[in-house]
Amino acid sequence: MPTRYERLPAGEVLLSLRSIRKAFGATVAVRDASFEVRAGEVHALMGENGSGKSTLVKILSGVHAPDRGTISVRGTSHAAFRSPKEALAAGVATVFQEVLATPNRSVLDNLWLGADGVFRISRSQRERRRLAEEVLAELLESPPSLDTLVGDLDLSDRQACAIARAVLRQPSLLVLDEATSALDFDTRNRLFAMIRRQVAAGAGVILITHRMDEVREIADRVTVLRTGETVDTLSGEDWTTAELVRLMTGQASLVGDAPEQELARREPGQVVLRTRQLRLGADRAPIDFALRAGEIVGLAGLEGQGQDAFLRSLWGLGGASGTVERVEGERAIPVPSKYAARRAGIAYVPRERRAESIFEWMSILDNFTPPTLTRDRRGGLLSSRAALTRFSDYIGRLRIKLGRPADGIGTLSGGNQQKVIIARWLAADPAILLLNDPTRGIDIGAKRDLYALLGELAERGLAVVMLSTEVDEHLELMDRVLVFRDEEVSAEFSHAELSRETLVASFFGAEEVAR
Amino acid sequence: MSVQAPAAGPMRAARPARPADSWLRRALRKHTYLFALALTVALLAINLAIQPNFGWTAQLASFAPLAVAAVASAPSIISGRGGIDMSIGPVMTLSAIVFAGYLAPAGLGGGIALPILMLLGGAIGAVNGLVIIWLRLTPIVVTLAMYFIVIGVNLKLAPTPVRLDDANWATSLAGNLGPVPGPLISLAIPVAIWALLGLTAFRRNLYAVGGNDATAFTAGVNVSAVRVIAFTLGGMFAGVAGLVLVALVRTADSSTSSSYTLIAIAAVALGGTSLAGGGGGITGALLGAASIFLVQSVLADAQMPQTWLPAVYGGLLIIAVVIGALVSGDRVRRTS
Amino acid sequence: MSATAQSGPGGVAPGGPAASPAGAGRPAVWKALVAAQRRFPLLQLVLLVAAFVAGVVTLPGFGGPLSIVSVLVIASLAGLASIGQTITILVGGFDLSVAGFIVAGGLIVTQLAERLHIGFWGSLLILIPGSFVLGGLVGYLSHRFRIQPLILTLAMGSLALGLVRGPTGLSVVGSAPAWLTGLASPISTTFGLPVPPILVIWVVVIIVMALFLRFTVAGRRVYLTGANPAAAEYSLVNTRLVWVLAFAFSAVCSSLTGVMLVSFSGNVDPNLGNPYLFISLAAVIVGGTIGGGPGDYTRTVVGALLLTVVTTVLVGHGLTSADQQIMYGVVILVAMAIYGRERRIRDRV
Repeated sequence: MPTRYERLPAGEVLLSLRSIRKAFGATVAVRDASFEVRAGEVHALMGENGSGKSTLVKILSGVHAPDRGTISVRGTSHAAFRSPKEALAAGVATVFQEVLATPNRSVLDNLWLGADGVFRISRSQRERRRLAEEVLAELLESPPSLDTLVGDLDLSDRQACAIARAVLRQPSLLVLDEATSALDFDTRNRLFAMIRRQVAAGAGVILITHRMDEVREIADRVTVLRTGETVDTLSGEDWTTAELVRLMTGQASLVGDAPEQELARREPGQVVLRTRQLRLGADRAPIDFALRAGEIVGLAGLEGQGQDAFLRSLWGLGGASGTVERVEGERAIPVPSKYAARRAGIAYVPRERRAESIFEWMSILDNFTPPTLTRDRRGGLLSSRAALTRFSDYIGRLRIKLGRPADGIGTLSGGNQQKVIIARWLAADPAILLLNDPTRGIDIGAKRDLYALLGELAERGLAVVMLSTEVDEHLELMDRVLVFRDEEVSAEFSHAELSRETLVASFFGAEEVAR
Repeated sequence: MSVQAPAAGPMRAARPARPADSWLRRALRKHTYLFALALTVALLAINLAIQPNFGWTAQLASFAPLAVAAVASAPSIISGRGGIDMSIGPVMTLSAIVFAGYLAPAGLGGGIALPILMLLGGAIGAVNGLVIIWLRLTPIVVTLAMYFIVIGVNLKLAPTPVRLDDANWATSLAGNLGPVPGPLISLAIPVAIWALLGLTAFRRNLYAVGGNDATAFTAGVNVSAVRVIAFTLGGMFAGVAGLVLVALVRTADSSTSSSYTLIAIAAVALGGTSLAGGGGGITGALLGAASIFLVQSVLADAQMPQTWLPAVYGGLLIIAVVIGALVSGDRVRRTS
Repeated sequence: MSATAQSGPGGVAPGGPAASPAGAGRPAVWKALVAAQRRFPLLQLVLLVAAFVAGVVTLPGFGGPLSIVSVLVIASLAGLASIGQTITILVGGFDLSVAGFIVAGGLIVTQLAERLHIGFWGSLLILIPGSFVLGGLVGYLSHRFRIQPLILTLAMGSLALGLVRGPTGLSVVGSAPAWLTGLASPISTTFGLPVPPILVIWVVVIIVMALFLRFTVAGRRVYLTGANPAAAEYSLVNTRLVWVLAFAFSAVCSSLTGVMLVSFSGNVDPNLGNPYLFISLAAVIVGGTIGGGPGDYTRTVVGALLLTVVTTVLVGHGLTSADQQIMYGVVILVAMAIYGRERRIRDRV
């Protein structure tokens, strides 16, 4: 393909990021990131959830501007890209993790999205079709017709379209953010072949991926991010899987310097919840899972591997096939909906605090009461005193730091907000508590409090299933951990079998365990 | 429990494509106006059966204001984020008042009057668009506020209805301009502009923005410019609609301000344009308008009293919007 | 990002410090004022007093008892028309069917009652369930198919009006029963109090609404549905039911307001309801209730009073109904610009 930009000779610096910092309100997403990409190289960017990768990608693609730091492309320094248009004009094309396509439009329109001005047409229709067909033929073994609606394509093809869109802009630098996760095997190979051709012609590629095999296959250098900082950049010969895992997770425990309190392991009691032949996808292996009273079970894995869908199905949500049953003594009661789950004594704390749990403009107390409102009725009217009494109990037990319960929920830190949400559901006296990544983005002190609380509750017979994206949490808290990969349970570890390396390695594929 | 055997090896083969939708569903998705087309044809047949002397020119003349109003409502709806333009009706009436009250008495011919009216409507549309993007307000609220403001202006300019001189050139738009029926010329104006825009990249950008503005943004589309232009376009077409209206009824009456907004949106929805944006088009708007007009015609032929009209319009709109939601494939998100 | 507790169910105590770094440099007095403004419609009350004083000073007779009662009666009509609007806006929608239901309500108790010889109370038996069903339908369709309630309510208003006008014909000059007209007359009395019954009714309504929104489970669910529909669903609130009931309630209130309006103007004409559409929206928005909360009916009452007083004073100085329209439009824009802006596109990627 003809290149729009004169490609730099291999080895010249194509992109340089210096001391990038980006905060959103009080949360610092990227603390200090610096690395550079050379012409002709494939540069992998790796890091765990929460390391700042996605924010960095948004900065590179022009969606956000950094608070501090500079971006240089081919020697021209920019303080920032003010918009994706600018980034694209500078020669940086990004493919996002979420497949961004307009389902109602044709493949052709999707591929050329944004290439024109508001009115100005950049290429003739004939040329557009020709170039589009060329790129699609490179990427796909049997490319769809250009007039097909993107919504009719399967996920892999849709992602291929998003990639083709970026490639058609003939960028100097192609950024692929977990772009391979949706691709099928064949397309992925073809993509890599295309990448090799592009870099041979002098482009640069940033590959953000969690797949170790991909990194080994195609990356020339790897930069590791941890908690918003670039930790190190390794080149092809210097790294091993173990070394990368160590860099990503860090030597020190993420939980801080507080001594790791060994939670007393409990004897699990009766089975309280069970799944039978649960399939998260059409051709996925069935999951037969049994939860016992007093257990704390962790769900682990990289983003989007099925653990979220599994947890939700335990609360009667989602479209998984198979059965979820609440077991009480001899009786097994199916749980087909969230109302049934509630009646069965199962509580669910959603993942996105802001979008799914918090009533932003309401008070702390009013964020506590919603599922248990009817308990505060006195003579037909709601009594705030009754609510306060109930809530005070939890303020103490969860050690919630607040001014007054009538203050706005926004005055609390993330950690304390999360405590209120958990109190909300504890107030419903559940037998089973499902938590979806509850400690994401909350401070160390609140985390510790939460762990202590969960241990205490488990002691008293509560069964807990907790999805977590933090390795240390699994190590410390869980009695056993289920690892998800491709919508199946790919591994299960008891507390005794767990170690950081083993767990992280299992995310990438169990063959790593041997290393 | 020991570690299970790895699910190693090459990634799974490609997942099967979505089970093929019925051909009907697919056809409907690609050509969203099909339902309205079928409805129009059926209604036309019924109409001709009841009243064989159809009187094409007269019917077209009655149809034209609604048709152009529907076309005017389309661009803003397509632009997404709940971009329903409530001010189309009042702007239409304003245009009628300005023509009958100021331009016609000044003896201005079509060549000057029409651009002036389009400029006027376009300016109001532009204000709508700019307020929406600068203040980041919901389009419905902004256009609703503009609706009230323009109604007020109409009342000020024309406290009593303004009569148009029968000899004015504009009346031929409701009759015949030589061999050609006037209404066809009126209709041709916005349709031609829309077709011309099809030669540029604008329409593509408009649909992209309407489908998912965040995606369009990340791909480098100038989302703000596209949205402002969409509203400006709607205002321009409303300007034309006003001229067409006054050509037909020969008076400009400020109390008609609220009449057309509702029905124009109904037409667009019925024509298969999703109210969430990103789909549909002018063809659908025209066919939807035709369907609604023909229903009214059938009811008139069946001698339904005028007093039932509000009920019919209301019921039609509800049905239209619900069908529209179903037909456009329910990819509707509440804007938030 | 952090909000202090705003006027709503439980939040009455002063909020905590604003978290935005930009707030650091502002004087403490300003911050206290902003915090107070969130709890009470402070600004609106100040403006109300200012407008009233302006009226007394510039218009002879404005401050007299009869004049005040008249203004209050007009405000009460505006307030009653805004009950349903408050609820639908709190839930996250809008209701543009107010005008249609008002006229329909007025027509039913006058014309229809006469035609069908069913009397006032008989006509209520048609009116209340009828508007409940129609309004509920709007709420259902809007929630189920995710259609903008604005469109559906606009259409339903037209439909409701049409359903009543159809059988009664074009001539909509109805006449109200004599006792009904007494309700809103400024000179009538209620059980010996020198206050027209409509004001007493309004006060009762205000109290009931305050109790409902603040102290009942159902009222709380209204707030929850509006504040965060997803979180409400996770908290097992049936948001669809809330929407259906909210719009049904709004329709019934609008119809009953039509009945009151008949009492005020003595007859029914087809444009009776139109001004009340604008007024209800403006009263709620000016009062400071935002879509999805926070807010309550008391704020709307202040908004209604403010609008009525300002309009009366301006009319006294020559404001035409055309000017009023323009004013309402501008007012809505200004209020929304203060209270209701959306997120940037960057933050939605």
